[in-house]
Amino acid sequence: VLESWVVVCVSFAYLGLLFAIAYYADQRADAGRSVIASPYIYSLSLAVYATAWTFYGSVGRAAENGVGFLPIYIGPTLMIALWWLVMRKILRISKQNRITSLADFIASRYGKSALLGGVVTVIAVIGILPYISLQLKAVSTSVTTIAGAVPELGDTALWVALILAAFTILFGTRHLDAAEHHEGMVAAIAFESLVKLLAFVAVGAWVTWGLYDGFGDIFARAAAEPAVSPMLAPFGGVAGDYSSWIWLTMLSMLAIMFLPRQFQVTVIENKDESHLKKAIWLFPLYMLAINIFVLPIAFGGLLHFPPGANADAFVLTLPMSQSQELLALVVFVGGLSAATGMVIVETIALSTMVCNDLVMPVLLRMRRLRLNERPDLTGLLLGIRRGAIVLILILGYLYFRLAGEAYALVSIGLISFAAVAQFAPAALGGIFWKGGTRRGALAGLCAGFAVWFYTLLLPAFARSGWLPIGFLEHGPLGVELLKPLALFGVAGLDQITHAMIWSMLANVGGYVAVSLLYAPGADEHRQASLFVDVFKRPALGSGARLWRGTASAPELFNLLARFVGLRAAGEAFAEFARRRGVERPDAGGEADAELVHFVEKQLAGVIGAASAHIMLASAVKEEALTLDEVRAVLDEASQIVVYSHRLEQKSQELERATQELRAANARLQELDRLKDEFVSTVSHELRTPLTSIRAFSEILHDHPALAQAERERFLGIIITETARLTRLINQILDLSRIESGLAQWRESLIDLKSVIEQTVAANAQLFRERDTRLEMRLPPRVPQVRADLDRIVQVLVNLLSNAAKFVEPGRGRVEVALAEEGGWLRIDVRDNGPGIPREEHEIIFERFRQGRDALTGKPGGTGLGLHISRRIVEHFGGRIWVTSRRGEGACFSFTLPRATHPALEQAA
Amino acid sequence: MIPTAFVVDDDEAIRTLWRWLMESNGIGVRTFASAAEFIAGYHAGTPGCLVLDLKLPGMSGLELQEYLLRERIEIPIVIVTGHADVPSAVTALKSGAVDLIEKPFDYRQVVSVVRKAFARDAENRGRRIRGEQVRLRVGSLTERERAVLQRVIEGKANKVIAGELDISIKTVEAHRAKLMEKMKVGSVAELVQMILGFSLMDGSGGAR
Repeated sequence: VLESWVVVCVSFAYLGLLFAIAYYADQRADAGRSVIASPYIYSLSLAVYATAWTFYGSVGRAAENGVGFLPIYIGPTLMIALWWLVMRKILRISKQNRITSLADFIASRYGKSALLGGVVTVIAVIGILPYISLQLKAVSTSVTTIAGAVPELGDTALWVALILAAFTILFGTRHLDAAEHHEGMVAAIAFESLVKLLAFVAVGAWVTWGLYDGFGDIFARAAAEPAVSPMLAPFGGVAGDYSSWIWLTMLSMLAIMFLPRQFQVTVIENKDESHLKKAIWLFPLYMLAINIFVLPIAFGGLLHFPPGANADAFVLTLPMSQSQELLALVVFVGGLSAATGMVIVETIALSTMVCNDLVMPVLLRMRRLRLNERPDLTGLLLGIRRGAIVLILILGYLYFRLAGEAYALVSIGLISFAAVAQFAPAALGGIFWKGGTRRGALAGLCAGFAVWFYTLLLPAFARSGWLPIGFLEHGPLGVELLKPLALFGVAGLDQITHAMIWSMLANVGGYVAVSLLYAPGADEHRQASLFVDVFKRPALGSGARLWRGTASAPELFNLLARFVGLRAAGEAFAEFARRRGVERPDAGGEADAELVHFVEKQLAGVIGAASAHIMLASAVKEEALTLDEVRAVLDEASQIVVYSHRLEQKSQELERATQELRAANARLQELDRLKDEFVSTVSHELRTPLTSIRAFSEILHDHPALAQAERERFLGIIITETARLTRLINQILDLSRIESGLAQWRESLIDLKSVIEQTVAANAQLFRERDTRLEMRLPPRVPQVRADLDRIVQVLVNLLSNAAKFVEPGRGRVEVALAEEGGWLRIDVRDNGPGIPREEHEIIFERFRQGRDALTGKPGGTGLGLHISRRIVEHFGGRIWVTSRRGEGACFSFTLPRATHPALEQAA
Repeated sequence: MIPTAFVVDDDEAIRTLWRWLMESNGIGVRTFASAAEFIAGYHAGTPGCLVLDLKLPGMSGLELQEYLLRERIEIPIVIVTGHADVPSAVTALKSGAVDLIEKPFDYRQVVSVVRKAFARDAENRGRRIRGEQVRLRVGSLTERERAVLQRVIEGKANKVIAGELDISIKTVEAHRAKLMEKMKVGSVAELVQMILGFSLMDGSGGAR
């Protein structure tokens, strides 16, 4: 046992050293040469996560259930892997909105709600009290362990609380910083993290290699000892079942984000977003280093001491039992260090929340205090914070006295973890889900906290004898269903798992349900968009444009000066003027939205967003924005963000349009060319017979002496060509009528069978001339079709005369067939002529594109017959085509839909 | 050989017309219904002209003209066209068609058009033949004679030529007399015209 004065001196010396480091770092920061702008310092400062719980409690936990202590460190390791996704966003949001604490963050997200900030603060303070008491307990235990009871000090824990309060005040509230930065504190914490790591590794190494013969030796002995060996099994048994592993891991995943002190060092004190990158692998490394000797120490203690020894104190008692007093002192300093670091950062974070989110909003609303008129509020702010620090530590001490004795360190800490986990739905939902609302967050937080209070805090009081223990065993008023440790009959889970399941159910359920139930207000809508879309929004979009109102610049200056002091306010305004390239605005005149927003942000850095919002409301006449207006402005802002994207799209569209235009132009040119070609074709087709007619008639006229045979031949040509010319003109006119839509279509119900019979009879002469056999294959009765009789006859005549033209005279055979096929009637005109090559099957239906026979040259057609036929058939909903192969004759077919009306059919 | 009018038109009546028009005027005529038939039936040695309708099934008139140019078949072409086909007619004329007949034409005019084309053909052939003759004559010269010829055309005096070729003036005079005889010309002027007219001398001994 060491002399108590040595212990006290060493303790103060160490705290003094920490303070010296903090003081030095603050000086450097003021000189503009920050010592903490390093990812390594940042990572070390995150290790404030490792507290007395880790330092003493892990060993205690491990001595109780082996590797069961691990989830608390696996969780953060898993979570930090997600930080690039989650924490980077929180960081960005916090920087843009000058967030000062976790309460401020949540309140800001939900429309700068003072109520919500207050609720978060209350939950945080109550939730963290067990955790602080844990530190007090650990430190006072370590003092008594190492120095024995110090009667002249009386209650050690109280002294520890008061001393820590004093140091915290020194560290955190010597002056006000507009951004809530505590560089000195961070530097001290980083140092503190190194000290506790080295101390723990020192004692671990000593136990492993000094007391025993390395890891193998300890584990072999542990395995051989029946009382210890079960702890080597990883799962099940003493190490806790799977569900508690999972819940503890999840719990600590949330704790690393939402413990107020973690939020403080990770977010508020962060200097550079890119530091996250290194922290993502450095922090897990620290976790590994500080945990590697936990099991050896635990087993060493179990093997060394008789059963029933306080395992939480093994790190101290082991070296002391071997009279390693110096090592014991080092360990004591390490433990003190871990506890001090936690208490300082946690209480600073909490005091900021209490001041900004609880006390100030209330004070500012109390008009009687006339706070608005006080020239300088910095003293008041510091006073509130200092009071809050003392109060929190005293409360922590009281909790220790009330409930702390009944629990091991780790169990106390987990109660706090479960409390801060309640912030997760509102905070995480808030940055990823725009639909989350203030009411939803309030409902979720309150419900989750209530369940926590009922299932974790009340049982803790009950166990300590402050509430009747029957409350635990039989439920309140004997209602078994409401037993705090087996709510609604859910039993068989460990206390933390049970509490987490119910509280998260209530919290998430309340948050989501109420959010969906009530529409958000304009403020909430704006803030939701600012938070969730933080990466999509340029920095300028931090809300300045979402304000409309009037304020005078000097008034704003005075307002800011009241909170931060004249000098700081002057500097801030000068900075504002310099950044915007305008004159210092406090000279006079109207403040614009930018300035109002700037002042609000500066104020928010000191008193939190909610308070700043209230303060500003008193100084400026704000016109309420309607939800629609906010939405419109937000949409506009979003449009700016996607502007470049749109531009790109637009240019692509333009390119596409240009291409379409070019294509359309090409089509037009093609149409124009086709038109020219058509005109020239028509001209040529007309002029050719005209040439023959003119020339031969002139010849006949000029040469009366021409031989008779010659004369007759020429006259024959004239007659044929004249007929051809007439036909051609008629068909061109016909086609132009059809194409221009001027053609007259006289529809009636017609019987194709009789039409064919009549047409064939009328054209029999044509076939007789060419000595061609014509056959008909017609069914006895067919349904009628609705069409223009003359037009159908025209098509038939065209096909028949084509067939007659192409067959070889004397050997020709033409067959006309009619058949009913489904809803269609089909007419085939088949010949045994030369046939049509496959590549011409489509072409022959185009105008002036005649089928040709290489032997006979051009047939005497006009080149329009088939084209007109196709027009006619298609007009009546049918189809016309040819099937043929060269040398095997051709079969022209067309279909017409049957007239479907059965009554009409009957009538005919 | 009597010149022949080669008529390509897909209209039977028009072909009949052409046959009668040519035959009644004592002009040889052959008709074809398509460009392909003409290509198959035409012999390049036959003098005459081509009467070509631009609107033809299959290979068009313009395509046939292009084909003849490509194949270096020289025959004067008379284009027959409908009025509206101005762009095609312009293209045909630019490609060297000698005349253009527009349908419906005056049958009395076409005979003279064909005769003019014949004359052009004869001229072309004559020039081709003369060119061939000159080429043959130049070919019959010796190396030294060709060198002298080159310099004579350039208008150099015998003395200069003798200096350049490093031979005596007498030798130059002998070569000169010999080459005038071989080229069948009586004067230097005639010789210059003959050579330059056909741009026959090229390569090392080419005319400038």
